[in-house]
Amino acid sequence: MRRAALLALPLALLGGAGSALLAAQGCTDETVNPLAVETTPTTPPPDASVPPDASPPLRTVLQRNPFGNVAITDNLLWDGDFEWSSPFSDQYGWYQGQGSTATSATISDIVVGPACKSGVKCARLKKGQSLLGFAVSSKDSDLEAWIHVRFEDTGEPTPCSKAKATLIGDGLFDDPSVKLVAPETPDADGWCKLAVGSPKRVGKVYLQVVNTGPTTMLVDDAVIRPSTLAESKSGVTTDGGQLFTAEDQASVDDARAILRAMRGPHDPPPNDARRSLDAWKKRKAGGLEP
Amino acid sequence: MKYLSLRGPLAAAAALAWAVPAEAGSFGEDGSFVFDPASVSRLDFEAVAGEGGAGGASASASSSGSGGPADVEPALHGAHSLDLPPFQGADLLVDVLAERRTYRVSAWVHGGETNADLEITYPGSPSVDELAALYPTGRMTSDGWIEMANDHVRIEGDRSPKVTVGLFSPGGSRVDAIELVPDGELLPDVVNQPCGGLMKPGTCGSEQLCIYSVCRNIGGTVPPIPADRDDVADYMANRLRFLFGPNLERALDFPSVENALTQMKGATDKWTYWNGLTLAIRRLHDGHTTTSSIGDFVLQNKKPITACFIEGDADLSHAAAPKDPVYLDVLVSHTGADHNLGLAPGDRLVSIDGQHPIAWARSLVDVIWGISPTSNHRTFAELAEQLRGLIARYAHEIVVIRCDAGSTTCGAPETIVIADLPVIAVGEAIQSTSCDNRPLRHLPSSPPDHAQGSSTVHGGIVNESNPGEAIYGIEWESLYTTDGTDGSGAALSQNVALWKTSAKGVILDHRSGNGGTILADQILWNLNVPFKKINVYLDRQIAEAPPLTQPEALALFELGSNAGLADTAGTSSPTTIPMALLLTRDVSASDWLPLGYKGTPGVRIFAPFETNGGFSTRFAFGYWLGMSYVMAVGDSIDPEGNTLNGTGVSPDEIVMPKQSDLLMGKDTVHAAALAWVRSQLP
Repeated sequence: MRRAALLALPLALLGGAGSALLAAQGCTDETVNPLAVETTPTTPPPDASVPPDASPPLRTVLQRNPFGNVAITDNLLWDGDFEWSSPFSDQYGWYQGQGSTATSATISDIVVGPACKSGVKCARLKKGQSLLGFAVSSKDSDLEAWIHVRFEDTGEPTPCSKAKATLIGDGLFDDPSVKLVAPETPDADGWCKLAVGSPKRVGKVYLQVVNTGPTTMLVDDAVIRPSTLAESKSGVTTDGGQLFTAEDQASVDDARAILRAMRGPHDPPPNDARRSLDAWKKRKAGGLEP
Repeated sequence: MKYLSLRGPLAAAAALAWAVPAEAGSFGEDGSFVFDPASVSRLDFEAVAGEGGAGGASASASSSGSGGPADVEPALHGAHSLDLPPFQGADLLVDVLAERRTYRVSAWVHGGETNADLEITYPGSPSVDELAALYPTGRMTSDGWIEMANDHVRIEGDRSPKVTVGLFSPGGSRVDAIELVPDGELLPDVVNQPCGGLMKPGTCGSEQLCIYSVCRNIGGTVPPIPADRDDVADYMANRLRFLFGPNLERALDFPSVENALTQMKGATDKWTYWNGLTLAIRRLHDGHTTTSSIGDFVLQNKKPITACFIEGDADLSHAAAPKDPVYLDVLVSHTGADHNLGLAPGDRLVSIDGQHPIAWARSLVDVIWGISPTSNHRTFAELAEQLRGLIARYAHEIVVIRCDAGSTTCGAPETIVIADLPVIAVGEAIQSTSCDNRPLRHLPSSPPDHAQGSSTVHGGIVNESNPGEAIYGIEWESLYTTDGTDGSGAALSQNVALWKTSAKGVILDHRSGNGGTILADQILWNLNVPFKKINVYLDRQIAEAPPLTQPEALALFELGSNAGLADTAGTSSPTTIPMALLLTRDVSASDWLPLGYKGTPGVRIFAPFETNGGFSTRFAFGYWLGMSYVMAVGDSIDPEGNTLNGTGVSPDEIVMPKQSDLLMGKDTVHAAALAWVRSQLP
């Protein structure tokens, strides 16, 4: 009902803001972002009109959905948009690694603000780092998956192919590893959307993301969802016959090594953030316990 | 000044997309921030650090760090902002009107995640009475500022409250342009009136709970209902439906989970909306699966009770108060020196607001986010351990039976009105004690206040060991180690090495088991457990999969075992030192510990009942500290094809703490274990 009402508005009236609104409905990407902090946006934000004079404003205002891309309600990842990541968490739906070593059961560098693709938060990976997103497969459906990455370049843009993303299993079942297809170049805002369609799987699925580029890379708006070819929202329905190289297989082996090393219960004492918060709250309460 | 804002169709379209209620500050056409003219309190940090900005408010920025001008100091309003260094917090005093009304409170944040709230303390209270968490609105600027806000925060300004904005930044950030803007009248029937306990219906209004016998406003602890409320509800509901791991709970508990999710979709106020989600998570009924609110971090206990409660057998007082047909009796285990309601070990807690204490505590799950869960559906040690805090906050009155050690007799039931207890004074010291399910401690190094160090392992010869018996023991809570040397790993290894050379018997006192990793279990198992496969752990695989049948689970065990994924316990050369394992409240790796020991020759498990049954691991999620949840992600399968989560390990010897023992200073469970170990000594 709500979507129908929105689409009934004249698109000419909606303009850029309308695009953003459509994005919020899951119809397309958000287009009012991203904006590098130091750059001037080319697209008017949805809650601001264009200043009449030509001088660049101090800043422009953007509106994001504070819960991220929830329009894909059947996302099979725990938290594809990182909006529920927390510095107080000690184990999260994404693991971070370097090679075959798990460096964290959470994400060490969460970015907050307009640099992200959607919502308020996204993840930053250093060169050589990887993420492993936990998801489930679908009993009756093929899958489609996508993820957005942006290299934080200061010079020439890094090719999208320097971001590697793969749907993998944990090796328990004979499910294939499927590489997401990267566009040749980033879009106007610097983002690369890697996407793929994948046949139905028997076992659990993970989304592995590796930064093989020369600089840091932002990661946001990741989706794995049940989909038939006709329902695909990513526009990419196969892996395009990409060659799965020995290097790709080594990367999958790294991820599986991380999964094996991190299996089982994991109940650590409160982390530094939690201890600091507790100490601060206790101090200001005169020593009283919560 | 002309402000940038949407007009006409664009505004209408925006309203369709997101709820951005009553924006306060706005932006000029040059992008400069402009406080709302209606704001009653503004902080822009243009004055010297430690003082506020416009509006006459003062900022007690105790941790303002390098708040002075810097080369590139970010600022949204003016030239300065508040610097929050990593792991630091600040409290900023703000003004409100001297009348009862609601406010929109907002702050702009630059940098890492920042947790912000509005804390309201009414005169005479030693600590914060009510709070509102600030959440991102989705409004942000191209230079990196994000708005955090909440709206319709109720404040009874006519009572002259102290109102502060609390800020904490785990990773470091800057804060600017804080303001409070009136956004509505407070309805006459919404007042902080006295009430008769949390579970007495009818007194408090919407978005209120009866806490400390006063109706408190809790609506501010959650975000506004999103405009895309159905998408958010469906998306979050699918986290539970697709990804929650434990097999048995999926079969038993999902109908009531779905009812709570339906409550979320139909909610007409924000508290009911978000409580619907968190209630659904709590109804998953799993030891790893919890919810928490910012109130669990911020609101201190105003009426601390230092008595610890434990389930047992009130063998001296069943004439005065019959045993409940469902629940075990609840006894006083041990107490602190003061604030103990005059209770002593062996006294009995008969009822809370007319219900058995455990029944009362279970009923709180509907509205109390921090309630402790159990995976199995038969035991309640977690709730018993939590009782004293729950009573202080949510009970109106309790009924107790006091007993006399000299005559070993108990009196008649006596009512204590919790509402009449005075709140503690600001700065008042409390001689408290930790509730660890151990009425007595039994090692020379045991802390007298039962303090639980996160990784501490107390070890040595038990106090009751006679010369020549060499009965050693450990008392500890955490089984967390990642490499065998960190956490509790090194201390456990040192004790095991000592036992190999010196012990004739061992007592493992793990009656508060906080879990950890199987690696720590293996340090202990490697002493005396013959090598065996105990389980295969698997995360949930398929979103729509129904609960596994036993043959399906057995097939998965075989598959996982053949792939090298079986967890194993023990050694090919076990010792035969007799060992007693004492349990009461446990979860996770603390469930695995008795699982590995079960059936081991020379090892006997002493406990009042089965363990929690939390045979999974879990992921933790937080929405800006205001709302957090943890959820179990998988299950374990034993070699017979039984899924383990939801079924605890049964003790070899069921031992209830007895009222008559507690009264005489005897630790029933430990005494039984000691007697058995002695019977096994070479």
